[in-house]
Amino acid sequence: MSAPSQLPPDRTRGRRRFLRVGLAGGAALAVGGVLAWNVSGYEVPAETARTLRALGPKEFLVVQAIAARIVRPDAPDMPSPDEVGVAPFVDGLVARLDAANRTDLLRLLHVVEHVLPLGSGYASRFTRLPGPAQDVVLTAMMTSRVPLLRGAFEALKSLCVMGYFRDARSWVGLGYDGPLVGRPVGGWVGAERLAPRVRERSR
Amino acid sequence: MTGRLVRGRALGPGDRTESCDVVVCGGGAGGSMAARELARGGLEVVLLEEGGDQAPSDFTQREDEMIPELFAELGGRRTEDLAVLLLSGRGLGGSTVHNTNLCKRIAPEILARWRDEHGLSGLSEETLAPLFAEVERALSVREIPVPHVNRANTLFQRGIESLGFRGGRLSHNRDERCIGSGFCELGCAYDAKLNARRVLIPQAVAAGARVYADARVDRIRIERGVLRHVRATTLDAEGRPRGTLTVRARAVCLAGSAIGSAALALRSELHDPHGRIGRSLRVHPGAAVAGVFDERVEAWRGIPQSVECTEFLDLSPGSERRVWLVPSFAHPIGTAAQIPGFGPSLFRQLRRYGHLVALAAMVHDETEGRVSLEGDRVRIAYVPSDADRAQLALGARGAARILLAAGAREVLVPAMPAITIRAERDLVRITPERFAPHDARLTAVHPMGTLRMGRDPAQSVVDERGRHHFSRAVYVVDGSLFPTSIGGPPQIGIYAFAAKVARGVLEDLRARGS
Repeated sequence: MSAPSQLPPDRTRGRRRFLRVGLAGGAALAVGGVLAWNVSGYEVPAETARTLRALGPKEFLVVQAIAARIVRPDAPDMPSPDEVGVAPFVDGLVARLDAANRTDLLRLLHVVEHVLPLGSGYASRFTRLPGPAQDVVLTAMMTSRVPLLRGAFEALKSLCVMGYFRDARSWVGLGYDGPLVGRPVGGWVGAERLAPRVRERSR
Repeated sequence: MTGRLVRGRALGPGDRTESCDVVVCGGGAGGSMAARELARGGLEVVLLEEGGDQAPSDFTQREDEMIPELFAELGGRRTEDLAVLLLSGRGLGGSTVHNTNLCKRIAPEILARWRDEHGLSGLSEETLAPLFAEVERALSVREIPVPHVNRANTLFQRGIESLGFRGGRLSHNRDERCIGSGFCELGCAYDAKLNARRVLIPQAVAAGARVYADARVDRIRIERGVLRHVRATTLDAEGRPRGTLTVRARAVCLAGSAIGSAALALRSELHDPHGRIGRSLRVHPGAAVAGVFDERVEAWRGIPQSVECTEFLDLSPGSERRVWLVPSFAHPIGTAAQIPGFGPSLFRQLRRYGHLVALAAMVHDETEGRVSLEGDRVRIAYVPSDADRAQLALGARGAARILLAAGAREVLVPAMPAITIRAERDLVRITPERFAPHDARLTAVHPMGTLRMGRDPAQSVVDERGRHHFSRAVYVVDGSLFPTSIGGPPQIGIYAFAAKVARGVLEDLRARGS
């Protein structure tokens, strides 16, 4: 029997502690004058604000900005993240998270907004950076030497792709035809033989 | 006794109390089987399941709707370092609702190891074979017929055969209702899975069990070795507390998976003088490898997993070939999450979606992770050891060879940065170092071992009969029991052990009298 693996200290550090430290670090830098820690200026349309369930206007705008880069299509035949409503979807999903995970995610959004741009040399909030600079920040996060940051990037990416590729308009460019439920038989392997049962169940 | 199935979300607020002989905490494979066996044995049984009760008509075949509904933590459960995605079921039927129906017995080599290293001398192949056979009959397990093998699996088989590798068709628990839709992992809208929800829960209810969905067990109360009660919170459709349910019972069976059961045992402060609860977590970490074919494969159509490759799987102790290869295809959301990168580069890769065939290299792992509590939060520590990373690399190389042999013009290993293989000579790029945490995308779907069986109370949590070494009213009936990884799909093993433990509970309670 092999010995239990020893978990390196940096990998066993709690993610909540990490996120708290990240935020505290960002705040300290702000106090030092490196960053204008402006907590105002996060305004969303009143109609959007009314529908938010878990995110505040600030977090909503951070998600919207992240999604605009992570699920930015390569060609105009695919819809934009705003067209398919990625940020409202993420808000709904976050509302269903348990309290601990929800807190982690909200803290992470603040880290992305206020702390990570500094690490990439930008003295600005993430949401106020131009798109290419936001890509630099997200790339730094995705390839960071800090394992938790890379994991956090993947978690954010998972939320964004779920919000984006849930929309049938996003399937067209992939050649995916979506659920079979409620439609006649498609043309998959074996369909000819199984077709009578498929039709029966599709009725 | 009149059995019933109650959806907690349909209950009003308020506090309720139940009494029974045995309360089962969790409604997946193990809990459902235990509830059925105990109820059929004449005991009063209450089963509590945190998740909801989904009917086939609820399965929309949409990832965004079904993943949050069918998986723990809305499908986003990860290890503490966020490096491994852990997909485990939630809801009546547990992981059997979203699994791909693979059925394999626990291998004789594994049982021999349990005997030799953990003192489990009563769990031989001969003693368990009748139990496995009984489960297979109950679930109509049979080999997938050739006409049901889809194009992606056919290409996989072609690659295996052209290299002379070991492998073949798998067995499933489906029936004639299956239309090969390819949406197994989002719940079967055709009710073709002969899983815990379809087969065992109705049988348990028919035998008199009272089954509660939307009832999250918070704590087991044991005083001086005597089980006082199990306390649960009833939940609404969105998981918000509605009321409480207190169940008084003579015994309790833990069936909340290797993560949920360990967390419950820790929250309940089960006597644990050797600090074993939550340790020895195994998960079968898996890495995906995708081949790009010139032909349009449309791998999302048809039964997702029909063929396996066992060329790199030797379950003997000390083996250096511990990888099981199976197809691993996902719908767009799962695929997009696996492919490295973001923005236009991600989309350019996804445009080849219809031409992809993905395989998973799943490791029979030696790494010991740990489930612990940090306040209310469940903390899952699992970092694959160097030896297991070497196995991931071995498996990824094997998968890449198979895909190339099957005709793939390019093979992608989703690491950061991605590894692209166009010929056998490129395989040297797939090294164990590329499977460090966060470098490769790792997913695990088989948590095991956190309340493991063993003869020695200093090294295990329960005995060979699944009974807690110290609290004699507590039993374990899920994958937490397994002392090691099993190197294959666990559902048959869990069903069989749950039945075995439940029959032991019957004997114990009869011996104790009322």
